[in-house]
Amino acid sequence: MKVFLYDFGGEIKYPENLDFGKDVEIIRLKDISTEETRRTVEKALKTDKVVFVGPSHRISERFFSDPNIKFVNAREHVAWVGHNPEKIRDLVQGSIDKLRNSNKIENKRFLIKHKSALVIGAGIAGLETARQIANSGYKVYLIEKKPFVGGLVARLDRLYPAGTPNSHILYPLINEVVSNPNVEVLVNTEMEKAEGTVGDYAVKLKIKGNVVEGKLPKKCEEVCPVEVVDKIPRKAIYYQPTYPESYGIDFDACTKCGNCVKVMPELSLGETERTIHVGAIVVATGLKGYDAKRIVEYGYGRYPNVYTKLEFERRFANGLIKPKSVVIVNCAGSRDKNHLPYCSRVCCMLGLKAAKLIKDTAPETEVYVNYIDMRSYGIFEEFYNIVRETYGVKFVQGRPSEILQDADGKLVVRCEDILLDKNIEMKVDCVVLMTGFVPDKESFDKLGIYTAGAYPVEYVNSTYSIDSNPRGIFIAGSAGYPKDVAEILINAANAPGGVIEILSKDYVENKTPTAKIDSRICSENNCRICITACPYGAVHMKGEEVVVNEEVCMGCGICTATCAAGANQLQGFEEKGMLAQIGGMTKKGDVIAFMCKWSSYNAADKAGQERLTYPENVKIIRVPCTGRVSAQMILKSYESGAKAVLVAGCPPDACHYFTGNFKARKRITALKAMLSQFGIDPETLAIEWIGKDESKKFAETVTRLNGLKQQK
Amino acid sequence: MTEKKKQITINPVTRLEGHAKIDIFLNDEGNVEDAYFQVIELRGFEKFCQGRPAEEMPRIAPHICGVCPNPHHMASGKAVDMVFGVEATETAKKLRELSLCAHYVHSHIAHFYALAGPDFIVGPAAPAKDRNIIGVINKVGVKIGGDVIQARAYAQKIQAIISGRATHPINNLPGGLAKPITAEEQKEIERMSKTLVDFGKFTLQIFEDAVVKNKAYADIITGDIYRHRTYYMGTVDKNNKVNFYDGAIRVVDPEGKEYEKFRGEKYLDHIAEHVEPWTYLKFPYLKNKGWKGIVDGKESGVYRVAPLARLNAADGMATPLADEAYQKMYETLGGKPVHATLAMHWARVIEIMYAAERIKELVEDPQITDTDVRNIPTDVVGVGIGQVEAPRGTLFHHYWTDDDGMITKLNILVATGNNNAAICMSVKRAAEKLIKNWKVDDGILNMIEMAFRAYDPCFACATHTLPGHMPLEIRIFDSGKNLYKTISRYE
Amino acid sequence: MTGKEKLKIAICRGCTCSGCDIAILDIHERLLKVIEKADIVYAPTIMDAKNADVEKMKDREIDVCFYHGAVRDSDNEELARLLRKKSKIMIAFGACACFGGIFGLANTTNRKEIFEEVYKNTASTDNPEGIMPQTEYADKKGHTMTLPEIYDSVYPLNEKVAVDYYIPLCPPIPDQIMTGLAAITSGNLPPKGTILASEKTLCSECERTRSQVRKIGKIHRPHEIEIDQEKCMLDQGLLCMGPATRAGCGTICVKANVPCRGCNGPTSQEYDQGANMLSLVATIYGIPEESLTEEDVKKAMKEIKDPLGTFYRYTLPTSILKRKRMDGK
Repeated sequence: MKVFLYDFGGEIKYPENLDFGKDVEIIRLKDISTEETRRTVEKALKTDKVVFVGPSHRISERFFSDPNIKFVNAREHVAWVGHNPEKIRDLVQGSIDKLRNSNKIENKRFLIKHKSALVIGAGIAGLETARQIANSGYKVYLIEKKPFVGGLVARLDRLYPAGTPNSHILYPLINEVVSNPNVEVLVNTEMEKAEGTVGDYAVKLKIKGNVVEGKLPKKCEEVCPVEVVDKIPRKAIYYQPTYPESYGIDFDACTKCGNCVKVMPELSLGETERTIHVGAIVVATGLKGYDAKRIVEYGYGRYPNVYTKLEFERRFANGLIKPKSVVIVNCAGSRDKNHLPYCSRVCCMLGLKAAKLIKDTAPETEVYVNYIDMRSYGIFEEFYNIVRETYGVKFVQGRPSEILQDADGKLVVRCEDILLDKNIEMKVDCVVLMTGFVPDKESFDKLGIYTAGAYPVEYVNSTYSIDSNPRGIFIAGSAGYPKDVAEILINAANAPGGVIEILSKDYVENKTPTAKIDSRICSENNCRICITACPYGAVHMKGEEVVVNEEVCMGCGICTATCAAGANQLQGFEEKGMLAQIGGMTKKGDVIAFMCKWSSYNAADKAGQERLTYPENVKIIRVPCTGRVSAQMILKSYESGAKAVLVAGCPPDACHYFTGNFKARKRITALKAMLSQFGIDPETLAIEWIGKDESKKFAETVTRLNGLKQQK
Repeated sequence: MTEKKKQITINPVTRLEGHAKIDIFLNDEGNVEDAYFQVIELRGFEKFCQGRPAEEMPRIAPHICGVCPNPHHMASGKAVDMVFGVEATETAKKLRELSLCAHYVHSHIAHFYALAGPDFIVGPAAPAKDRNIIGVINKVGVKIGGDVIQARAYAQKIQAIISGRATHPINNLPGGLAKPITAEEQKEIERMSKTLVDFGKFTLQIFEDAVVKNKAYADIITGDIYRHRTYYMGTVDKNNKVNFYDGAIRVVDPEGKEYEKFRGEKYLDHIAEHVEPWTYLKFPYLKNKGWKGIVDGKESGVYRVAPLARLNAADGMATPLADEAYQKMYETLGGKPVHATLAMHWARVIEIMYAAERIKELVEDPQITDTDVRNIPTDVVGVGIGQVEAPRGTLFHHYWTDDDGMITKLNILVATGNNNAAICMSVKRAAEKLIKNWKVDDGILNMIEMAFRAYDPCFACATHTLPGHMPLEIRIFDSGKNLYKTISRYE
Repeated sequence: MTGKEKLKIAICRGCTCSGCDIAILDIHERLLKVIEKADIVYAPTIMDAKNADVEKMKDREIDVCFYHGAVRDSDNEELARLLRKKSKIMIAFGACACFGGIFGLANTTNRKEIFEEVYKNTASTDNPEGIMPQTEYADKKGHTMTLPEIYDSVYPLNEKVAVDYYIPLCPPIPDQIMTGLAAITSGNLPPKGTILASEKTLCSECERTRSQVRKIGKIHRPHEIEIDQEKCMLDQGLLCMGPATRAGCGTICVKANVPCRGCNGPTSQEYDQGANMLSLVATIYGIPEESLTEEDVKKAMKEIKDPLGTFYRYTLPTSILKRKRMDGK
C-alpha cells in the first residue's frame, strides 16, 4: 500500500514518525497538479492500493479521478481548523483499514455496438430530434403509434401566442426528416419491449397494418363502416396531410371488416413484429391529457357541449360548432388533490389561445375564462394583456364547482367569483375544459425508468450532475414536462446532443461506482426490498435475479443500507470497508460525523476555509449520501469508542438522490429508540440537515455533541 | 481411627435436564450428617424478559426448557390471553390441550423406557452394563425399541402439526392460535392417536408384568428408603379428575384429605418461595403452612408435584382405561395417598394411557377442525396468570405489563422447582439410610440415583446406549482436605 | 472393542435448555445408524460419563464434540475449555453456542440485577433477609459448598474457545444434524469456520407471495390482526426477520403463521443481524416519505415495539455492541 502526502508547501503539518507498518510506504509529494505526479500515482495504482492525503476530496478528485484512491482531508478538516496533526494519523489509519477490506472497483464500460438511435413518437419533438441525429450522420428509427406523423401539433389549427398555423413549422420539418436517407419512419408502430444497456439496446416493435404510399382511392373511406366521433368526425381509415402519403388505419377503431382491402388489395390489416438494435433511445411521446370524465361534476361525456381543448379547437376550426357564448375553464382538475395535484404549466396559455381563436373567428362570441392563477410567464404576460384588454375576454377568478345543463340545453357554470366575493352562475352554449397532462408511464415502465408516477419526469439529463453514469435513454419535448412548441424547438438540441455524444464514441464508461448484488446470498426467490428503496429504479428484476442496472445506478448506496442480508454492496463503500474504517480511525471520546459529499461535507470544508473553531476529536467520514449510512456503521462508531454520532445530510427535498436523507432520518429515528435499550443516551445520535454553506451550523452541532456526557 | 470430617461431592449429577451436584457430609461416626442437592445454574428469565412485548412470551418462554417447551408455551399462552383481556376460542383450547397431551406422551415414554425402565425391567441388582435401554430391549424384544421410537415420533409429529414445532412450539397468540388444523391434518392425528392408545395399553402391561408382578420390585417401591409423607398438588377438572391443560389446583394432605383448592390465578395466596445460599433454585412451599425447613410431614409446607402427586390429589382419571389402571394401582399399593417415591413410575405410565386416550377424544371432536381459532384482543388488562400441568409438575407463568402490553415484571414457578425440597429430602434420606459407618460403594450410589431419578427432574432420555449406571466419583477428604480415598464407578 | 475404531462423540452442555439434546434424539431411527459408527463417550444430559472421565482422556482423543448452550457461568467456561482440549473438532451446536441464543437477552442486564429480581423481587419469593446464593458457602456445621460464578454477560462459544464449525437454529433440525454427521463420518469436512446452513436468506425458501412494491404502511403486532396465510409477513406489517436470516429451516415458523425471529442467524455478509433488520424496516416504512414531518416519523418508528428484543432475539451477544451498557460499568 502507498500513502501519498502533500503538504501544500508546509501548510499541512504531518505528525512525527508516521508509520503504518512494513507494508505501507509513505511518499511525500512536492506538488499535485503536475503531469509527473499524475503519472506517479497512476503507476502506483497499477500494483498497490493508494491513499492520498491532502486537501478536501472535492479538490483531490479534480486531480485523481480513479475511484480506487482513498482520500484523507488533512487541510480543511485538520490544518485549517488548527487541530492536532495527530488526528491525521487516525484518519489515515482508517483509510488504510478501509482499503484493506475493500474490493477493487472496476468501472463498467459500455461498448457502443450500434451507431443508431430509436426515437419514440413522431410529434414535433420526435421529428426535430430525428432530424438532428440523422443530419449528424447516424441512423434513426422514428416510430409513431398513430397512422400519421405530426403528433398533437398536426391536429391543432394554430399555435399560440401569435396564432401561427401549425403548417408554418410542421411541413418543412416533416419534409426534411422524411427525405433524409438516415431516417426510417414506421407508423402504426409501438415499442413492445426494450432490453439492454447504452450502446446495445434490443427493441421489439409491433407494427400494425402497412403503408401503401401514393395510392389514395377515396372509395376506401366511403366503404369503411366505422365512424369515429373523436375530435372531428372521420372514418377508421382516413388521410392526414402530414406523412406518409397514404391512407392510414386507426386500429383502435377498425373492426377488420376488410371492405377497404377489397378496394385496395395491397392494404394489410395484420400485425408484424420486428426487433431493432440501437445504441440510444429517445422518448418523445408528447402530451397525454388527463381524462376529463373523472371530473364528474363538470359533466364531460354527459352533456353534449362540454369539450376538451383539442376537441373544441378542431371542431371550431372546422366550423362544426358555432357557440354564441363559451366558458373556458382553466385548471380543470389540476392543482387538485382529488385529480392532478400539480400544475401542468401550459394549459393557462392554451386557454388564452382558445379564447383568442374564438374571438379572431367570431368576435361577437361571449367568452369567459375561469382561472385560479394566471401562469403567464415571460412574454406571455403581454399575450394575457392583449386577450383581456384588446379582445375583451372576460376573466372570472374562481374554479367552477359544477357544470349543469338546464331545460333549454344550455350549460350552467356555477362558481365563486373571488374578486367580487359572490357566487355566480354563467349560462353558456359551450364549455371548454383545460385539463392538465399526465406522464406516459407505459413507455417509461417498459424502459425501466422509475418515475413514481411523478410529473414532470425527473429523468431529464439536466437534473443529474456530471457524475451520473452515461445513459442511453433520453427524453425530448413534452414527454418530460409540458412545453409549448417554441420551447420544444429551443430545447431541441438537448436530447440529440446527448445521443450524438454517445454514438460518436466507441465506448462510454461509468464514472460513479455502482452497487453490486451478491447472488450467492440474494436468491432467486428474493425479498426484492432494495428494488423499492432505489429512487431510480436502477435495482430491478432480470429474469429471476435482482440486478443493478449499471447505466441507471447513481451510486448513492441507499440500497446497500437497506439490504438486511448484506448481499447488496455499493462499490467503494462496502459495509466491510466502512466498518474497518470506523474501527481504524475512532478513539475513545470521538464524535464521528457521517457527511454527505454534496452538502454537509462542503459545509465542513467551508468551516475550514473560514477557520472556525470546533473540537479536535470530531472525525468526518464522507459518504455519497446519508442514505448510505447503515445502523451497523453507527453502532460500530459507538463500539469503537465514539461518544456521539452525527449524520448530516442535504436539507429536506434537496437530497441529490431525492429521498436519501429522508430514509436516513427514518433509520436514525428508529435506531435512537434501540440505543436506549443498549443503555446509550439517544441524544448522542443526531441527524441534521446541513447545507453546503452552513459551516456555522456544522461547527455548533459538533460542539454541542462533544459536550454531551460520554457513556462508559 | 483418627477423627475425620468427611465430604462427598457427586459432580455432576447426570441424566437430568439441567446442571446439579450433590454434597454429602459425614459425621464422626461415618454416618450422614447432611446432604445437599445443589442446582448450579441460573438464567434470569424473570429479569431479561422485562421490556419484551407480552405477546412474544409464548415464543420466548419455551426456551426455559427444551425438553418440556410445550407446557411453557401453553402456560404462557394462557397468561397472555389474560393480559390482553381475551379468552381463547373453544377450538383453540381443545387444540392446545391436544398438543399438550401429545407432549406428555413423548416425555413420559422416553423417561420410562430409557431412564426408569432399566431399573425395573432389567433389575437394580443386574450387572451395570445391562441396566440401560439395550438391556431392556434384550429382555423384552427388539420390536419394542422400534415401537418406542415410533410412538415418540408420532407424539412429536402431533405437536408439530398443531403448535408449529415440537421442540419450541410457536403457535400461541393472545386469544388462541395463529392457525387452525386442516381436515387432512385431523385425519393424520386421528390415525396416529390409535397407535398411541395401543402403545399406552402395551406400556401398562409391561409395567404390570415386569414390575408389579415381581415381588422384589414391589418391595423396593413400598420400602422405607424412598418414602416421604408430604402434601400433594395437582390440577383437576370439575369432576376432580386429572386434567393437564386447565382446572382447579387441588392440594391434599399426607393423609389424602383435601387441604386447599384454588384457581391458578390465586396461586400467590397459597404458594411462596424460600431461598437458600447453597443452590440457585428456590424452594416453593405452602404459604399457609409456612416454611419449616426441608422436612416432610403434615406440619411442613413442603409439597410434591408430578405424576404421583397428581394422581394422589385427584379422585381418578377422566378416561376409562387410565382410570381402570388408576384404581388398580391404589388397590395394589394399599390405598390413597401413596407416598412411595418410586410409585411415580407407575403413575407416569398411567398418565401415558390417559394422555393417549385424551388425544383420541379431542381429535375426534367435530369442532377440532373449526377455523375460528383466535379472538383478536382490543384491550390491555395488564396482568395475566397461566397455569398448566407439565409432565414434571404444576407450572405457573405470571406477567405484569404496562398499558402498551410490554412486560414490566414476571414470576415463573417451574414444575420441577416445586419438587426441589422433596428431591433434597429424597437424596438426603437415601444417603442417610444407605451410607453407614464410612461404607460407600457402587450399589449405594445407584440407590441414591434412583431417589432423584424418580422425579424425572426435567429430562427425558434417549433411545440409545446407556452404560447402565451413573458414573459417580466420590472423593473422600479428611479434615486436612487431603484426598483420603477415591471411589469411582464409570467406564 | 474389535474391528474398526468407532468415532468418539461428545455432547457437552453450556447454558442450555437442552432442546439441542432432544434435537439429536429427534433424528429418530437415524440415530441407530449413527450408533453403528460412533460411541458417545460424554453426554451428561443423557448418559453418565463424568467430567473426570474427560479429564482422564488424552488430548484430542474425542473426535468431535457438539457443544450446545452459551457460556454464561464459570462451569460452562471450564467445560468448554476442557472439551476443546480433548477434542479434535469442536462444533458450536444450536443458536446459543453460535450466537448466545435467547439467553443472550440477559445481556440487557447483569448478575446483580438478576439476583435481585429472582431472589428478592419476584412476587412469590419470601426472602426478608435477602439471602442470596453464594459461590462459596459454609453452613452452621462448617460444611463448605461451591456454586459456579454467574457472569454478567452471556457469550457465544467462539469467544471462549476456538470453534471449528457452527450448526445454528434453535434447535437444529434433523437435516442439518445428519448433514453434519455425514460430513464427519465420511471425512469430507468443509473448511474450518464453516456455518452449516444456507448462504441465502429465509425469503429464498418462503412460499408466500410478495407484493410488487415492498413497503410497510403500518406495523402490527401479531395479535392485533388476522394473519393471512398466503401473503408475505412484511407486507402485512408484521416484523419478520426473514430478510436478515439464513435459510435452511424450511420456514417452520412462517408455515405455522407467525413471523420469523431469526434463530438461524445472520448471513455471512451481515455484521450485526439486528442493526441490519432495523435499517431495512425503517427504509421501507411509510413511503413516500417526503410528506412526513419530524413528528410523523417519530410516531411511526414508535410502532416498532422492543426493537432490541425483536431484532436481536437470538443474536445479541454477537452484535456489534454485544450488550447493554450499565452505568459505571
